[in-house]
Amino acid sequence: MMKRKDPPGGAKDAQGRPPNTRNNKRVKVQDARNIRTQPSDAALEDGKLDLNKFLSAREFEIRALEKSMAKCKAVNATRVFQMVPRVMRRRTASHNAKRVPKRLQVQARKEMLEDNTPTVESRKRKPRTTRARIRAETMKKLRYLADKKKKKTKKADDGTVEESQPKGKGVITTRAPRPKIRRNMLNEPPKADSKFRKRQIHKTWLPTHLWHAKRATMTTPNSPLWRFAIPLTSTAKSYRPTHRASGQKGAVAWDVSYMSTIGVYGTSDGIERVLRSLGLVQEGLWNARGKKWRAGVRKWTGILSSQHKNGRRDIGPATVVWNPEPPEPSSDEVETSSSRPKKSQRQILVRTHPSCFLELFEELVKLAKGQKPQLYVEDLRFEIGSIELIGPGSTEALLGILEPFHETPETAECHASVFRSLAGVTNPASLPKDAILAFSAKDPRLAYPPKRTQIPDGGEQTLLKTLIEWPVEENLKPYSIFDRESRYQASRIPSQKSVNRRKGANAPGEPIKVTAADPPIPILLLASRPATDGQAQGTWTMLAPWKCIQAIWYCLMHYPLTTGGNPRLGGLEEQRQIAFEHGTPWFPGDFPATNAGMNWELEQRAKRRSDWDRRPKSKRLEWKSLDLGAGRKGEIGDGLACDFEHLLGLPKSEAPRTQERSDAVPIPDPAAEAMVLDPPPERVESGGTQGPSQSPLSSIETISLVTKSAFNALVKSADAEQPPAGSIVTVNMEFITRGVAKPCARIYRLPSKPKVNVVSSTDAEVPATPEISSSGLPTDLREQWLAKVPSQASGNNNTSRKGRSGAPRMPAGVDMETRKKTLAQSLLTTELPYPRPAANQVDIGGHPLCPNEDDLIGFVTTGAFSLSEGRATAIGSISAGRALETLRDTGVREGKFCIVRNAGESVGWLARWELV
Amino acid sequence: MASPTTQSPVGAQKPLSNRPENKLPPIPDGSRIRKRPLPVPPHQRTFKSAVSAVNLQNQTTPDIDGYLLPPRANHTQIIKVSSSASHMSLVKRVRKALESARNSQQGTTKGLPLAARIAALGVKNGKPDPTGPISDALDDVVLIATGRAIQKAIEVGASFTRERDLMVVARTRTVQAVDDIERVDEGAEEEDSARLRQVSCVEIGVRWAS
Repeated sequence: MMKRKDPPGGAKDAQGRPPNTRNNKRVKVQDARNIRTQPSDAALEDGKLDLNKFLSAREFEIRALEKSMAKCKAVNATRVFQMVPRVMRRRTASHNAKRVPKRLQVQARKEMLEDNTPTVESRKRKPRTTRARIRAETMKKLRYLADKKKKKTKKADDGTVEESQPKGKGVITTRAPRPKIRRNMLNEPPKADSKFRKRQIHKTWLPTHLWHAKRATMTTPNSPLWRFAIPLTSTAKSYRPTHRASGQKGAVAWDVSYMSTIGVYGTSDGIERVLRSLGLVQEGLWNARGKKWRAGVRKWTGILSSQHKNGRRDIGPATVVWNPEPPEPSSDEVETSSSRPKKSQRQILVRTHPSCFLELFEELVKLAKGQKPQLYVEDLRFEIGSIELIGPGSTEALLGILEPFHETPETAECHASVFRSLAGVTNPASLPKDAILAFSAKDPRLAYPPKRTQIPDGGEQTLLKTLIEWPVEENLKPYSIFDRESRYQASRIPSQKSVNRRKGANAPGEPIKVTAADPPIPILLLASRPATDGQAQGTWTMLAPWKCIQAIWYCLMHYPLTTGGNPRLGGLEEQRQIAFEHGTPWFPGDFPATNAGMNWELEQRAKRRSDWDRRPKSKRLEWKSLDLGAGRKGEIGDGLACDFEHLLGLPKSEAPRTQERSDAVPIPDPAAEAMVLDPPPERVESGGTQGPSQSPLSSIETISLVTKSAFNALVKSADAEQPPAGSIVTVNMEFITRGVAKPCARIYRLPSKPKVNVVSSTDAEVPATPEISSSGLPTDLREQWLAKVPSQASGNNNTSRKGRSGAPRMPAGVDMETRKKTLAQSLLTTELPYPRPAANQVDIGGHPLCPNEDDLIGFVTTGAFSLSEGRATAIGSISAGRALETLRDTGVREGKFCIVRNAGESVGWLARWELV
Repeated sequence: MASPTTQSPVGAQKPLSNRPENKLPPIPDGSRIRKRPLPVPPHQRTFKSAVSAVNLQNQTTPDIDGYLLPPRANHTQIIKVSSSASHMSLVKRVRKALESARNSQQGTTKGLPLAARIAALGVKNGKPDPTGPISDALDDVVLIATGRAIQKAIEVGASFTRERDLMVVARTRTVQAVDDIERVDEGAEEEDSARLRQVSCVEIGVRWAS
């Protein structure tokens, strides 16, 4: 059997090795590694050392060493594809010469020949399994049949032309069928291309799936996320580049077509009632302040909630956009039309996260059916796709690819001109709050490749004028993205093939002219500000018909930013990262008080558990033997979970799979059927845990969230009002000195002050032993922790360490006097108590101990070192009751200190929490 | 505001944009101001002036004070100074930018159209004419600061004046920022509005002397 490394045939050389390039290379390497030396006796002359000769010999040796080092570096085993910059390397170990840039292909081919790299085209590989063999045979047969058919038709074409269909006679032309959108029911995902249909049985691909699958880590085939194949993170290293692109230079783009859109239409009163019962109860939305929102020129983003037996419960974040009313007909038209004023019919879009989509849809259907006259709900999940952008270059990237469709002054859309005037905006947060722009755009492929946007002369002044006045309300027309017909027309954009053909016929460099075949693409742009104010970047969200997303995405990814490079691609991880750097909670991971968030948490638990189980016993954390100091053993609660059940004293919940929906919201019958049908039955066994219809109805579903404003009101209220039992608040923590929190880290409050037992004033002398309270902890634990807070004036935080450092060492060779002095000093500075107590009894190597379990207030859901803060931050949830108690007892400053200890570690670190 | 044609010399009588009568009225009761992010000077590449590698475009539009912004070299790096930034980190960032500027001054024509690349071939890798009108402001690095950060930017700039081979130029400017006036109580019937505010700004240009 021949080895892969040995090329076939060939004679052998003198050493018995076949003479080939590979052996030549080996010789070269050996030569490079060989360092020449000169024997030292050459410098000896009659027993005397000739210094000159000796030195020159050493000099020669050093030269030889350096030369060898350089040579080794030159001949080492690098392949040519390793010269490609990392961002351009699509596959890490690309041995395929066709995959490297053209200029390197010749060299790569040569290297492959030298190495005898096997080159197999998977298409032409001989089938090995029975299944593959059968498939190959079928393919062969089909090919034969297709050939036969082709021949037949060709013959028919040659022979009988007159047999073609009679034209213009009895032929009825109808419009092509549009995809059905059922009212109050869930819709089917778009029918996949037959080639890819089998891979999309349990999930749906994003419109840009094929592009992403080559460049990003996707969810694994049998565990999709929220019934979609979602890119998780880019295959190239991207943590720091994403941070830079999102804040300083560049742009990051996501295909977030998995976000679900729901349309609701009916009378405006009915819609108002539905929205109010979904939790949009702020008066500011329904009085004069909310006029712009209701007119459709602003959006609303917030948390929706639903009414349950025991109070309200959050569903998840959503964005609500109204469709503007059609312009009122002029007065004479009103007279001619029916005298009875028609009740105004309105339309809204609700855009939400797929993990809470089903819950919201059920709730909406229930509410819509309860209205009189009835409202209708449409599931527009696969009708409308979306792209999200962040970064200083996001606006210019959008400007570079979206050109208004209507350009003549008569037909020009007002929003389109406002959008074009945004050239020079480097942060969508500098637009008015919650701004919306809706217009029709040209197919971006007509002007491919996209060009850099130029800022017009004196653009700064006009830009500021636009930003202040924001003239979007003149002759407002209904947005075409709400219109099913225009969405459908837009989804029939010409194929890439025909665009290419037109481009070929066109002069080079010229944009392709718009013809009747190019439909306008309805676009809805939403500008959102970060939750935290300041200079942080805002986000653009572009909604467009699902079928147009791919064309837009390809152009977007090739837009040349003025600061260099192209927009980066982002995945789910990047979305979490940016939310974390902005200090905002990410849905669903940081929302354990919602069903979607709890599902996420349970999945994460299962994942951590299986990872832990897979490790050998000797290499995994033994939770029971964790030493927390002062004789406390074992982790509090489950070490692999953000154990809110333990914290709030709820019965233990089980894995998300095993629960059945028992007393959830009563579902209207047809919708319920559709929903039961919607997840295919195989899915239940498929092992994934993402089915939105499964929600663990258990004890943890009773956890509720207290909002920031509600909590602040509770803090301010004079009477000892208590938050509802089992409620939590979401907080953002910043570490004060050191420490990095990981998910599942435990959050403690500072231990309460010891009960006042002031001994008489004789406590001038130091007590011989540190006082130990009944719980086994030092009584001054709170002071120990507070001493860790750097004082404002000096900023010196290591005073405690200095004080605790041991006695100075006795210097060697000093006189008796100094010895005595040093000894006396050491006696005085010896730490008391003098034999020190056992390790981890009063402190952990000088670090204060963690408080007891009754001071546990919550868990960290996301934590890492934050590149934007330059220190570790974390986002977590803490028990509202305990937090409020602490704030009332110790005041706002000290009450907000907390101690964060990672699960499985005994050392905690001081942090400060803020509500988010 | 002066038009580009009426370029008044320095020191001439010119209506100030921040005269007392031009001051903004006090915000109504029950409102508060929410600042929008400051506009960032656009980073523009021009293709016309590829040979001199100078951005001439923003020379044609004067500032609100009637001040012509000095042209910027294409390789100029802009560093925005925040009041919380540490001194050393700013110094390091400036140094790094200066180093990369020195490396890139050899003249890369990457990203330029073909005509510009060919034109650049003919020029003997020369620096722009030192006697020209625009030679004095081709900063390699520009620190931009407003408000409380001005002091920090000046300190950093001052620390670079000690170095022989660097030149430091300070310029003052006015930047326009947009403020939102928001009602504090939710039940208020009035809508939010926006208005313009003038912010003083300092630009510290640092470049290689040679």
